[in-house]
Amino acid sequence: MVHTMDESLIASLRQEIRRGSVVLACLLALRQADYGYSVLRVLEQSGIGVEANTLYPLLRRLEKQGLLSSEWVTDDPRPRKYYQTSALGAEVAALLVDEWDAVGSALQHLKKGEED
Amino acid sequence: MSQLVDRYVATVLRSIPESKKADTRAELATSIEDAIEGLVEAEGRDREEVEREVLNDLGDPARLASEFSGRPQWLLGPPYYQAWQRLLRKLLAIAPPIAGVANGVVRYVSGDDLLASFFGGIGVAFWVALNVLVWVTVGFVIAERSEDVKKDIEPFTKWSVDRLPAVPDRQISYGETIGAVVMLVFLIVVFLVQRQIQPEPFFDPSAWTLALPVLIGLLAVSALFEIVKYKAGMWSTRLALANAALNTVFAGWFVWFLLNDDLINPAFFENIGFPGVDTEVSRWMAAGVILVSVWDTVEGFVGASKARRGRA
Repeated sequence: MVHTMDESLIASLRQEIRRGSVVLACLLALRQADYGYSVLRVLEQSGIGVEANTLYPLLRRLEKQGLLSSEWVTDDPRPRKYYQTSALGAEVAALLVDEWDAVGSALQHLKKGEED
Repeated sequence: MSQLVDRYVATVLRSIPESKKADTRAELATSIEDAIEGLVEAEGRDREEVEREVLNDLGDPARLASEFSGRPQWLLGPPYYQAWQRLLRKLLAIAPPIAGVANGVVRYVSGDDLLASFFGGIGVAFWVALNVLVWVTVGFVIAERSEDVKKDIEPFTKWSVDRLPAVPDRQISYGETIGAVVMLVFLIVVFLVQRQIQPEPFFDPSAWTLALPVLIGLLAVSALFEIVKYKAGMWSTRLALANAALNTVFAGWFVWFLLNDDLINPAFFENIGFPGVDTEVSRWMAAGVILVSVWDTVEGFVGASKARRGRA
């Protein structure tokens, strides 16, 4: 059987790899307080594509887990809930960045080994 | 806020806990408005069209609500699926057949005709199977959603190497064979000895011209077959077919004479003070013989299929 590049397969594998990065991206992006839709835009612009219906519940969950703190700001034309990475969140983010780098360098190592 | 957005937010809120409602409403409504406004401003598109697009992208409100409240969006997840399947298989293999057969036999013995008893039994088996399926599933669905129950049933759902099935080199044990042979020989002895009951034997003396000698012969063949089975050690399709044939001949012969009232001696029951029950006793015995034969036949085929798949 001849296997060809199956676009839907590639898309799902790519999504699987990226899925874990969204939490870390949020924790890093929200060192500056920001609100839901704006976070969506910031992540999109920095190349971390995430759906609104994934991001909004995720922000809530991270808040519940104490990794983000939140505050309602009523100065804007609409009342907005601003999220910010908490002290705990920053610690966790540092651990996750290390983890991400470790995975990256492990993959680099494997890639080099293959080329030799 | 437009009517469409309003309806969307209200639908999401329907299954959000009361304490979270106000917060969720404000945040979700703002996020949606932000998105719509952003797209309208950036691309100069028609507001209504953008509204539909943004809400379509957010997707099913029920799903979004589940995500917001962190509720599982599945009936049974991977932690329980295997345990659920194992338990269901075991119960479905046991409960419906037993209930169905028992119901069929009771119907038949209490006077229903054979067809009505058969379909009555099937109906009961189906009903029991349906109940097993529903209640086992309901149980697991509840367990999946309760941390307490999860902890309580962990010993039954957790897998360890102790659960590995044994891979025995034989299905038919020495003890089973001895037991079966002793039973068959005992039956032959009973058939022979009952002739001595005074003044009237249990079986009709006229049955000795044909029915009983052949029955005793078939019992002897069955005893020999047990030994052949033991020698083989494992069931095979051939062995199961031979077993089925032997059971069919034995049960057919036995039941035929029983139901024609040619086998049991009415005088025996008159003599012990139960005149006229011989027909009913014949029916019970016929039912018993059919049951045992069907059971034994099914066991052969199940054994053969297990042997084929390499487990016992």
